Amino acid sequence: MKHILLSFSIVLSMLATAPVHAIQQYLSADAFLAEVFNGQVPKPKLLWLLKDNAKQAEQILGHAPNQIRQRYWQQNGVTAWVLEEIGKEELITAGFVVQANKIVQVRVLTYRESRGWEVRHPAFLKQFEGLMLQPDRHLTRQVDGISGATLSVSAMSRMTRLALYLDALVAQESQS
Amino acid sequence: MMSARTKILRLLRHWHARFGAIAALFFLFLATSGLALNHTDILSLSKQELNATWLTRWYGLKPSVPKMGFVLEEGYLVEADGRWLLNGQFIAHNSSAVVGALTWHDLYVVASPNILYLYTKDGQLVDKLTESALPEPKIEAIGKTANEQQLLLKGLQKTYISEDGLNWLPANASGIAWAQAKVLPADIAHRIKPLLLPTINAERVLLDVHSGRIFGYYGPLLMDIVAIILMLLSVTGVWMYWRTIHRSTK
Repeated sequence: MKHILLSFSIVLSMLATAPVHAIQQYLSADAFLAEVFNGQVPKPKLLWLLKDNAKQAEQILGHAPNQIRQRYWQQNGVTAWVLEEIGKEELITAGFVVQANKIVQVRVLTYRESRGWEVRHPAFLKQFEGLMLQPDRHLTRQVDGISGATLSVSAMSRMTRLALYLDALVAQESQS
Repeated sequence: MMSARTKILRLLRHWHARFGAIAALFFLFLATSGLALNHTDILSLSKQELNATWLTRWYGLKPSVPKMGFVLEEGYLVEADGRWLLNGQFIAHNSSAVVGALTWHDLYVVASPNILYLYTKDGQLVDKLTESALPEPKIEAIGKTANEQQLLLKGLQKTYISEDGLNWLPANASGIAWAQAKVLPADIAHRIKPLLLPTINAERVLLDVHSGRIFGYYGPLLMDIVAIILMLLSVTGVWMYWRTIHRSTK
């Protein structure tokens, strides 16, 4: 029933919104961070993806990480990440908020593909909330797809897994 | 003596078979190319770049070797048709113009009008600084201090200095040698020429072949005729089938 409702709401949203065929910035990274940290954005921290960590990230993404130094923002146990991943041909920029090893929020910041823009809808993104990373680095629950946006959905899932993995690395570093 | 109806049916069958035989080749081709286009991701068509000379000539693409580029320590960075070529390796596609490029510590720093990219010497992206990671949204130029320790960035309003590429402070703008594009030395121009031959995406070519656009203005018209023939064949085929059924039930 939940899946039917989700599909129905996505279809409704698709009908209500005209298709987008150009680069669309829905939210700037700065605005996303301001929203997450209630206007009090902490200074960014750096996480290097080298050797084993880079390999793990590569396993998650299916290719080498786009960049080896990742900036993140951390405050009161919350980490925020701005990640990029190619859907079909173009990069999708998305923001992720992680707390206690769980996804708290996901937002599509910039969408550049000509098809698959439905992934930005809150009805779709809501299903990421509460997701965690299993020991095999897969998500604890499968993300429902959207027809015509398979590659964008897949890119969003990969970025979610990466955000959770990076958050776990930060937690590990702070413990050691 | 054949009745008029039988004559029409025979004539129709005759032409149906002829058109069917001619059109079959097109249908097979359209079905095959359509199948391939339907599975473009599995076949990685969008990632395959074709550079056959006859094909690029057919599309009217010519090699464009830029005369200007950024000569770096131990290398060069050239921008051509939205692609960035760093020491023989394409590091970015569909990218903006390069505002400046220089060597800084163990990194190459490349600036576009609103993004600052940091690359390792082997062309791996270290970080991509945008928005609040920059002191101003627009980058006019980049440079470094005389001792090569600090990075300098010229925005629309001020000049900034940074020790780590993350924290920026306003700086005195006088006497700075900003990174600028220069005429490429002959040996570099010679080396990059074969790398900048035009390419065309396999998916694009297949789409154009499927729609007939590859044959220019008349290609889609030819495909329109094929589509009309298919419609006629469908109608005549159904009609003949219906006639046969109708006759056998009598």
